[in-house]
Amino acid sequence: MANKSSTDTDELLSKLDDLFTKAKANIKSISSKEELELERIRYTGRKSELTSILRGIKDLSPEGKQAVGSRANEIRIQVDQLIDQKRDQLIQENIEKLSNAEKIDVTVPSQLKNGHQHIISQMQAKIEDIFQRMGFQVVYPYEIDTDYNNFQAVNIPEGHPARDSWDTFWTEDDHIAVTHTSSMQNRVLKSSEPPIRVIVPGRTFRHEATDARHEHTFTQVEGVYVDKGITFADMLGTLKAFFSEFFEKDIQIKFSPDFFPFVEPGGMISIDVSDFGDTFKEVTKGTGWLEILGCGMIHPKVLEMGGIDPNVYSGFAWGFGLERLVMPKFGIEDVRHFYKGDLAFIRQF
Amino acid sequence: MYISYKWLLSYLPDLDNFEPQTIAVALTDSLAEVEGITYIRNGLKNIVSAEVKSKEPHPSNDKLSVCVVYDGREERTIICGAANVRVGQTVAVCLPGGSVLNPSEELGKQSIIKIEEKKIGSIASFGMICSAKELGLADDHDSILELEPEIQVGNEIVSTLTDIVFEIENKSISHRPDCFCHKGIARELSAILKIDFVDVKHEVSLIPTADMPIDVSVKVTESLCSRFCAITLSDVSVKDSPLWLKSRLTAVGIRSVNNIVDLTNFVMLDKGQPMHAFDYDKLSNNELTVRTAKKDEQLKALDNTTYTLDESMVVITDASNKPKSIAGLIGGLDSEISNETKNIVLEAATWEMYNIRRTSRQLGVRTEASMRFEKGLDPNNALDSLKSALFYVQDLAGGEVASPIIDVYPKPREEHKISLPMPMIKRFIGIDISKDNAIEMLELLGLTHLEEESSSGETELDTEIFEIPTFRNDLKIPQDLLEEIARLYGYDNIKPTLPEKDLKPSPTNKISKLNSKIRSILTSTGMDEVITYSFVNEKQYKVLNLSANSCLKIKNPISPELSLLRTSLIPGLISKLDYNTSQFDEFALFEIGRIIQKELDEEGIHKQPYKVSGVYYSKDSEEAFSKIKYYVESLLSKLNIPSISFSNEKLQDNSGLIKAMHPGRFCIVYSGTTQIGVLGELNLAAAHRLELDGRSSLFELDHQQLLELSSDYAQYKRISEYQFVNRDLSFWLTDDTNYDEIIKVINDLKRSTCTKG
Repeated sequence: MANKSSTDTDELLSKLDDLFTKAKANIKSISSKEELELERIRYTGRKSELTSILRGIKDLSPEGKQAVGSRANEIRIQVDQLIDQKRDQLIQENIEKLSNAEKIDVTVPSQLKNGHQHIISQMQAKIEDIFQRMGFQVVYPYEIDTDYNNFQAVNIPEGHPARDSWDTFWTEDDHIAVTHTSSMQNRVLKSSEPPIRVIVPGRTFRHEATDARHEHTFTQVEGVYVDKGITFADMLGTLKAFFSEFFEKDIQIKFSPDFFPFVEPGGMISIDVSDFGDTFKEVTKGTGWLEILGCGMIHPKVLEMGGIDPNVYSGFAWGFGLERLVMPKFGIEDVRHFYKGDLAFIRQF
Repeated sequence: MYISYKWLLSYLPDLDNFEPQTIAVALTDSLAEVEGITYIRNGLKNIVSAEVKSKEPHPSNDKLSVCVVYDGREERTIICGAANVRVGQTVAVCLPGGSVLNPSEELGKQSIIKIEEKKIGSIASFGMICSAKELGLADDHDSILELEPEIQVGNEIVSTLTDIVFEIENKSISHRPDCFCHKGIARELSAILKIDFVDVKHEVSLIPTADMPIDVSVKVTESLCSRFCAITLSDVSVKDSPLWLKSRLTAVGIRSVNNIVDLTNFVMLDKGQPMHAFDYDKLSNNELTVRTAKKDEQLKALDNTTYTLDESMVVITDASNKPKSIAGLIGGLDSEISNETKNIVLEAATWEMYNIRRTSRQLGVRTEASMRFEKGLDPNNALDSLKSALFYVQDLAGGEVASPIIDVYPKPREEHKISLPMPMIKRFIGIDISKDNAIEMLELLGLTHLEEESSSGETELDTEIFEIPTFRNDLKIPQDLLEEIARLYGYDNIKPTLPEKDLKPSPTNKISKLNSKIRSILTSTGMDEVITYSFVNEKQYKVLNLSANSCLKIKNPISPELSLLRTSLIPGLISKLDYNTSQFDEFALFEIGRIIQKELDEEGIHKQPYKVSGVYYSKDSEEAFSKIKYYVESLLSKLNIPSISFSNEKLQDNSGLIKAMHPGRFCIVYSGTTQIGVLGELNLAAAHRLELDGRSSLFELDHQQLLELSSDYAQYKRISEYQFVNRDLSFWLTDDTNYDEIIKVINDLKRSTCTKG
């Protein structure tokens, strides 16, 4: 019996080994997850070969049972491991295959795009920011205002020849499409006690034919600074500081006399645009100086009309065309681009 | 304005020490921009005055004649093609090796032609007799130019013809009537360059030697005509001007007419006082009357135009009571100086600037005279200028003084004084300059320092008093003197400083802040920002089914396309949409801007609220509505506008824009019960009229409401601590049940049982 039993034991053990050998080979050759599942059932399921081998265990000696049982367990664990490994391998292969199949042209641009803020808005924001950092308040003008605010309150009485410099649009009820944002100066002066530091960026109008240099509609930035002891030299320093901030480099400026009825003394600041490309050489007739900003010490009459005593306070004011400043900064050759609404232009900024 | 270098030299003998470029820079830096320097008749060479000694027909060409001219050194044969060449004439001859200007090119832009010895037929020609065009004087090239006999034969005349002209930008001296002439610019230059200014005063006898009286009555107010001077001259000879005068005038762009007319122009350009000359014999009954015009009275003027006048204008009439001249503007054709004129009246008057400007605008004519009167001229200049004209006329045209000088000047303009506290130079301009230096500057400009009256001393009270000459009526207050000092000091020499400043933070501009938020939100959704004109037209409204009746009109639009003020940003945006569809298949545009309403606010200003508006276009997508709603919802949610809802109750619309929208695809946007705007697809009929292929949509929101309702930060809500559960519910509904209604039912369920997820 003992012999038979040991023979049976050996036989079972050898059957197990054969099974294990066969299983190893089979698992290795499998190429799909489905087959692998069938193989798992075949070797380790309830109706598997392993189970049927183990059915012979009951006739064995206790030692035999022990030996065959533990061997069978080992094999089951190992087969399970092999199957798991194979599964991982198959998944890995699958992913690789799929990934390779999904290769795309990564240089194709994406479809969703952000929009663009208009360059004039961006630059106006920049200018507002610079002056706000310098302690100026931002005030917006009306587009349509009265003769008083646009002209009379800034010392341009009716019939004054200086009105010729401001070609004016009139509404049917004799209001004015503001020719400069100085239209707010009187309100600004009246609204608070000095020190007054205000800039007025906004839309202005001139009755003139449109061409590459002229627009009937444009953006002006007026500025006012009133306090005790403010000088002409302070104005120059303030504006110079602004230009350096705006152009982000030191800009050569030229300061020459000019006449505006609302200032005395009055001046014109030109900036050196000789580095800004050929377009601007033409505009400046080769001199390189582009007139950019009219300015001066606020006329005592204008201060008085604004309720400020010119014997106590002094101040300066200036006005410049935003477009005129933006054009050299970006090398924009034609002022009409700004209002044309062409996305080919808008989307560049 | 053109200013001649040679002319300036007559006032500034030392000016020839300065290069034209230096002079231009000096003027630009301290007075007004010199926009250009032109070398007049540059390139003329070897041209002399010569006398025609004989003239024979050319043997082989009967259009030509063979002339012998004497050039001061020798007689030379010249073949000439002009019919008007005559023995005894003084002519301009270009000698071989010299050069003239190309007569076939436009006057003033001519290139140079070299003159050489040349054989024409069998005869050699040693030079050329010049036409006015070859000398760059006038357009005439059919005849040769005859020089005045007074000119000496053999004179080199190129130096008379050439000049250097500065083009000065007028605008920055529109307050300086004294600068609209050579004398004024010369005075400025003398102060800027610190060189001597020599005033030329002409002594003339005003005692009549003939008797041709003129009666003048001024029947307008002293303010309209502050001075009227006139004098008559008999037996003048009207003829061509001498070469020097033609050269001077044509160099600065004035056409030469005859010696009398040229001299009135000469005096105007010299001294800044416009003048007029009448033909004495064309004035009825030796009378001149200054009066206001009658309504619809007419005058045919020197420019051959008939002007219809009205009561606001001033005219000069004769005894017939017919206008002979429009004051300060232009003379009448029937009393003009012609070649037959024998006796003349010279007039120099001072007219009111406002009236001249208005008349000039109303009649649509602007002359060299009106351009000067508009600036407000000094009446004290009138008589001096008249005397100067008299001197030149007698010099060039002969004639005798035939009337006493007439001078109606009821209220002479007097010098005034300005007190200048000297410390103000430092306090107001910010420069350090010695008192003596400042006084010298002002004196160079013609001001008189009144030393005795001034309170000297180096204190705050140091005030100097200056007497202001009447030609500087623009100087009224101390600040005006400070400008004179600053510009002579040189604006560019001023050292920039920064004001001393407190630390008060500047208040925030809420509109600016909101606008930058809106811009950043809308661009993040993919919208591009445009800016469009405030001007629109009726067509832009009509095409959208909208009425432009509430648009304020522009009285003087640039074109009919720009004749109304926008009441919505939509018409402008739709035009920009239309513009871009040819190049882009899908895009969205927005604008933030003011609209203009007819209604006035408490201040009497038209209401001009801001709007935020957008348009979307897609060539093939059906998503026009959902896209535009996405933009609006994104904006409103990022601005933290509370309780947003949408309604399609047409009658509730405040915007008036619903008519531009698809009747089944629009909605009114609410925050709570407040209407804040509208959105929807573009009306299909409008799209059809605009020939838009795809689908478009639009929105317009009320900026003021956004400003009031938005908040910087969202409200925090506690996250539910219960597990999130999905339940799929189905409802049986009628077709016209809105999503909103269902949500409302759900939201209205008791909060204790339901928390919105």
